[in-house]
Order: sequence, then C-alpha cells, then structure tokens
Amino acid sequence: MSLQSEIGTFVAAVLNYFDTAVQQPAVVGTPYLALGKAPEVFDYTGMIRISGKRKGVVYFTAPKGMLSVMLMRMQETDMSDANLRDLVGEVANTLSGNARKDFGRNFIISTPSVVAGSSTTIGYSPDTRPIVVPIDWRAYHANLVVCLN
Amino acid sequence: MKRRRHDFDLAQLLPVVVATTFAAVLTLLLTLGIQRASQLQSASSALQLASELRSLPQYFGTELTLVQRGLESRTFIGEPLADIAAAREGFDKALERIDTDLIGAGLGGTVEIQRVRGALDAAWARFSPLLVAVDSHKGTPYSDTLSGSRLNSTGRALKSDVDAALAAQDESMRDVGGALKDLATGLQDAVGDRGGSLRSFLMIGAAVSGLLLALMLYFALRSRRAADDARRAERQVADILGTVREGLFLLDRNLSLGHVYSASLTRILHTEQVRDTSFEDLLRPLVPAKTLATAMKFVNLLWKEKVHEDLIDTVNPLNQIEVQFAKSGGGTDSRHLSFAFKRVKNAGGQGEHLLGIVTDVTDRVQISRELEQSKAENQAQLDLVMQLLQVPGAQLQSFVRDSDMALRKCNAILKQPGREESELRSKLNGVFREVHTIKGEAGAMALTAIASRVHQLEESLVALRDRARIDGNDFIPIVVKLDELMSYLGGVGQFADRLSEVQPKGDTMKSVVPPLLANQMLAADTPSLEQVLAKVVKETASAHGKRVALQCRGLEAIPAPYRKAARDITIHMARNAVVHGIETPDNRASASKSETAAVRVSFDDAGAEGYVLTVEDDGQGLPYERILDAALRKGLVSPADAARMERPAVYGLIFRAGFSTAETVTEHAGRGVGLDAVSQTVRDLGGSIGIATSDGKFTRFRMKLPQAVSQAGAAHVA
Repeated sequence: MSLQSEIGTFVAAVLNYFDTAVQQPAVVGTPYLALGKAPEVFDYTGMIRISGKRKGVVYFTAPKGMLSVMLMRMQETDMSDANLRDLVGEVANTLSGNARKDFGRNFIISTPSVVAGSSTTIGYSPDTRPIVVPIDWRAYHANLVVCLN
Repeated sequence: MKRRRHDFDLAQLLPVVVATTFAAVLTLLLTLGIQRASQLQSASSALQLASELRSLPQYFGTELTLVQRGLESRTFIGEPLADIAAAREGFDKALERIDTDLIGAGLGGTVEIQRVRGALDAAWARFSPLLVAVDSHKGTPYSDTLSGSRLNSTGRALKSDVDAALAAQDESMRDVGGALKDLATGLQDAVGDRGGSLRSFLMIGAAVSGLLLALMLYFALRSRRAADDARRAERQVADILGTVREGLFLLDRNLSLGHVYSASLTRILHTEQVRDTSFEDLLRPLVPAKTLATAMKFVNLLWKEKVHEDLIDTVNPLNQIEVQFAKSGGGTDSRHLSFAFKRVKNAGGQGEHLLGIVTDVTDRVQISRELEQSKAENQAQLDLVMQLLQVPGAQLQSFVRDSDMALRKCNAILKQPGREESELRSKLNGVFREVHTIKGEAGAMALTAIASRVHQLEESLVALRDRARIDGNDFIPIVVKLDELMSYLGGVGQFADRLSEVQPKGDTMKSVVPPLLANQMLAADTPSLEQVLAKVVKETASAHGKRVALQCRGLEAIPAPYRKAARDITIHMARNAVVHGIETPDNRASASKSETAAVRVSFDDAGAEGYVLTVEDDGQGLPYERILDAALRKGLVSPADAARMERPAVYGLIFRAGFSTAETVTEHAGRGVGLDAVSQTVRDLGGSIGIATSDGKFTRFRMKLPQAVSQAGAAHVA
C-alpha cells in the first residue's frame, strides 16, 4: 500500500466521521508539507502511533470552538474538557479502525491517545516531513497530520 | 475412471434390481398360492357335495318304500313323492355344482376324475328316470268304493313304477354310491395335492420374503455406510472450500456459477451475490467493457475441445487485472486479481464445467513492482551519479539550491488558503510552473535522471489538470510526490556538497572517479548561458529531427540579478522555438529555405528603457489557426470569444496556463507550461513580452525588462 493510499484512508476516515457522526460534511484543503517547523497543534489532539511497515504518528488536531460546535451538532450539552477529549479521541479511534481494516497485518497501530493544549509538542522522526491535510468545517479549521516514514 | 463410474452405477442399481426381482418372485408365488387356494376351495366344495350325495341313495329307497307302503295301506303319499322329486332335483343340481367345482379346482381335465364322474352320471342316468316316473305321477291313486278304497289305474301305475324303482334301487344306488365314493376319494386326493402345493408356495414365499428382508437390511446398512462416507466427504470438501485462500468456483455451459464455491470467493470479489450469478455479471463491475467482452470470448473458447487450454492460457485477459472495490468508509481499494480456468471433464471425457480459480495477487504484484522499482531506482541512481559527476560542483549546488527553493515555493502555494475550484486550479498552475522550470534546468544541465524524476510529478499534475473537477483530496498524490522529490534532491544536494569538496583536489578526485571523467570534470567550468542554450538546442533538435544553428549575442552582459530569470526564459523559449517554430529540413527545403534553421538569442541594453531580451527563429511563424483550435479544444476561450478575437489576442493565448499546440506530450513540449512560466517570470520582474511573427518566415519574442531590478523581483528569481 502506498503512502498516498494510506493518507487517503485517514482522510476518508475523518470525512466519514463528519458525514455520519456530525452529520455535516467537512471539506479537505490542499495538503502541504510542514517544512522547517512542526505543524500547528490546536487545543485538542487525538493521535495514533504506527509501527511495522511504516513508523510514525497520525493525528487530528482541532480548536476547542470547532469541537464544541461538533458536540452541539451531536445533541451533546456537556462541553467539558473530558467530553472534548472524548470527541477527538473518537476521531482518533476512527483513524485507528480504518487503518486496521485497510492496512492489514503489516501495520501495528497503537491505542488512540489524546493530548490537550496548543503548546503541546508531538514527537516525530526528524527524517520525516509531516504532511498536513487541512480539514475545514463551517468556519473552523482543523488539521489531519500524517507523519510516516 | 470409466470403470469406476460403471461400478458406481451398478452399486446404486443393485438394491433396486434385487428388490424388483424378489418382488416379482413373491408376486408369482402369491398368484400361484391364490390359484391353489381357489382350487383347494373348489375341490373341498366338490368333496363336501360328493360326501353329502352319498346319503341320497338310501334316502330314495326309504322314500320309495314309504310310497309303496302308503299305496298298500291306501294312505296319503303326496309327501314322500314330493320329497323324492325334491331330492332328485337336488341331486341333479349337486352334480352340476360338482362339475363347476371340478373345473374350478382344475380337475376338469383329469382323466381319473372324468372317468369317475362319467360312471356317476351313467349310474344316475339309469336310476333317475325311474324316480322321474314315480314323482311325475299326478292325480289321486285311490278310488273309494263301498268296500273301501282301492287302487285306481293311476295308483296301480304308480305302484308299478315304485316297484320297478325299488327293484332297480339296490343296483343303481350301489353304482351311484360307488361312483360317489370314487369321486370323493379322487377329490380328497386333489384336496391333499392342492393343499400341499399351497403349503409349498407359502413356504417358498416366506423364504423369499425372509431373504428379501435380509437383503434389504444389508443394502440399508450399506447405503447408510455410503451415506456416512458421502457426508464425511462432503464435510471434507466443505473444510477445503472454507479454508483454501483461492476463490474456487464452477461455471456451467451457460457460464453461470454453481452452488458450490470456496468461502474466499466472496471475500476476494467483495460480493455475496455469487450463487447462480452469470460470470459476465460478476465481472461487469470489476473490469472495463472492452476487457469484459474479451474475457467472455476467452472463456467461451475454453469450451471448444480443439482449443488447447494451456496454450490459450497465455492470452487470458484476466490473468492479472487491477480492480477497484468501494470501501465502506468511502474511497476505493485497488486490488490485483488473477483468474485461471481449467476444464472439468466427465467420465466420458466431455467437458462438463470450467473450474475457475481467482486469486488476490495484490501482494505479489506490489512486491514485483517494488522489485522493479528498486532495480529502476538503482539504475537511475547509477545514471544520476554518472550525470552528476559531469556537472561542476558549484553549478550542481546552485541547481539544487534553486530547485529546493522552487519546491518550497510549490509547497507555499499549496499551503495558501483557497478551496474554490478556481483557486485550486490557480494553485495547480503555480506548482506546474515551478516544477516545469526545475525540469527545464535539469534538462539543460543534461541531468536526465533528475528531469525524468521531475517529469513523474508533472505527470500527476497533468492528470489532475485534465480532470473536470478537482478538490483538495486530489492534491494528496501531488504532495506525496513533492515530498519524495524533495528527499531525492536532498540526496543530490549532499552529493553536490561532497563533489564540491573533492573537485578542487584533482589527485583526490582521480582516486574516486574514472580518469577520463575526472579530466572532464576538471576541464569543465560553470557553463555560460550560451553553452547551456547550445546544448538545449542541439539535443532538442536532435530529438525532433531538425537542423538548427544557434546564434547568441550579448548574453554575457546580462546583469547578475537577471541571470537566473534570463536563463529560465531563454531555455524555455529556445526549446519552444526548436519544437514548435522550426520546420523539418524537408519542409524547409520545399519552402526554399535553408535546411539548417536559425535560432537567435540576444540581450541588449536599451539605456533608460531598460533591457531587451530577444529570442527569434526563422521558422514557420506562429500558427494562428492551430493556436485558436487548441485554445478552443482546451476550453481556454469560448467559440463566441474566438470569433471576435484579433490576431494579437490569439497570439497572447500561448502564454495562458495549460496551453499547448503539441499533439503529444514529450519531455520537451506538450505540457503547455513553458510560455506560461516565461510570462509569469517576466511579469514578476516587472517586464513585458512582445510578439512579432510572419507566416512561414519568423517568430520573434521581445522581452522588455526594467533597468533597475527591484528587490522583490530579484528575490523571486534568485
């Protein structure tokens, strides 16, 4: 499976989450490489780590406002930190599920984890250029970052 | 195989044959038994009648005596007479019934019985008329007188008949009794005989029934064993079909799939609708219509006995096909499937089915491709090293630096906001220009390995540009290839750094590269623009079968801030001139022109008006109609606009992104990027482009550049 297909799987997972869980489609911007500095991290980030045929990290990072509106769309009234963490965790879980289904046994995918705070540093191999896929939803902007060698 | 099949049929039929035979025998025995029973019944009836008749002679004697004494005593004799008549008629009827029973008992034709029966008839025939004479008298036998009753004539006649009957009675009755006794004896024998036969039949029938029961039990046990074996075999087949990784199925002559297929088939084909589905319907969503038609022809050919299936397998269109399956979460999954077919023949050697075997060979194909790619990359790396060794280190470093900047610019373009279709296409064209420039630079330095690598990215950009609609998702392949290209050029940069370290040290370089190459490297200084253009023109002309002489003037006077831009511009335009402007030698000769064309590149200082960079060729001129046709074909202008356009506006179309009049795409032309990039570069520098052309004579591009180079412009082209 090529890196291109793998990124496609992750993008499809995120878009599908917006279509089905949030019931309002998101739009993918033009992907680009994070050169020179680490990609921007928003308030909440759900990530999975991958080893095996490829190594690296894939994460969905979104601002608090966006996640709060997503929760509202999902008929949730609890906008607590825990619930926002659960939401990005759920997106990361979708990334993990799709990856497990599509990539096969050559990939080992970690349990999804969640970090909060825009000053968080997410570690990745310095030999790798992260590919940032902008995810636009309503007036909000999130990023899907794929950093695999 | 044939013998085994035959045995199988016999084994199946044997219980039926045995059961039928035994049933026929039993039926026969029962029929015979019934017949014997019927005969026995008739014989018994006849015997009973014969036995009953044996008492009648004595009865007749008694009744006759009663009549005689009645006549003598002049008493009433009507009753004994009636009894005689009734007994006689009863005897006659009994004889008739005996005859019927004898026929029923199958004794009608028996000689002994017939003889006895004849004797009885004869004896009865002698006595019966005497009885008839007696019992047929009517009227009163007495006449009353004064002296009492006397026999009248009737009485006397009756008495005479009675006396006669009594006189004959002893002898006749002895004959009748004897005959009846013989008949009874004969009938007793017959009853015994029929009873014995019936017993025999019943015993044989019982024995046959017992044997049949035993055989049926045997066959039932055998059938159960066979059924157990069949169930076991069925389970084993199910285990095999459930475990095997290949998709196995059978096709009948209608090319429909049977009920039995391996579990993997539905997994490989991503469908549960397999049973009773036609093979064509199964393939339709997987392959293009043309491949489907060819595949069906191929499968139909396999039914022809004369066709050698191993030989025809070499043209199997389904030997390896790439198919797309929709993924549940959206998107598609590309898989490679391999179909193979084998004839399945019956015992008579006739083709009954085709065994289809479908395998998911995606992993194998990928490994094979990776291997091929690895080989190609190794070769490309070797070629690259050889090419890099021929380029001066400083020049190579400059190229790598410029390329890296161009790729970063591509990335910056992608990073810009903008999700609308027009914005995405603008980004696409921006990336296109940068990439094309890198390719042009690489080509000019004869770094074909790098040019080829950049060409791959260009291919992806072309594919995207030709789509009717594009979205951000479509840029994923672009950014992946951009990443790969950056890594690739990073490696080239590292090589260039090392090369620049060793290049001044001739002895050291000689130790790491072949002497001839080392000498070339030492001799080579950074080539001038004129040298680069000469190389570009020569290679492009050679590739297109043209003869071109390059004439350059004033290029060494190009100010430093303009050198990079002038280099990019002139490379593009000189290559364009050779590909599009210059005719082939034959065409030039037929147009009374020199077979060797001229391309002139000049740079002039126009004082306060700035600089003028000119690229000119003495070719066929700009083809007005072809430009317009190409613009219409690519949708750059509407037909209505095209009809209103003046010639200068039409010529201006050649600077539009995506424009090209080339029919085919080559490394030198056809992308519709070169002049777009030139135009953009000139605009970025604050300059302008003018075109002068004459059909069949020349085309001249004059690029006016401002005298003072702005910081922004310099930064853009640096």
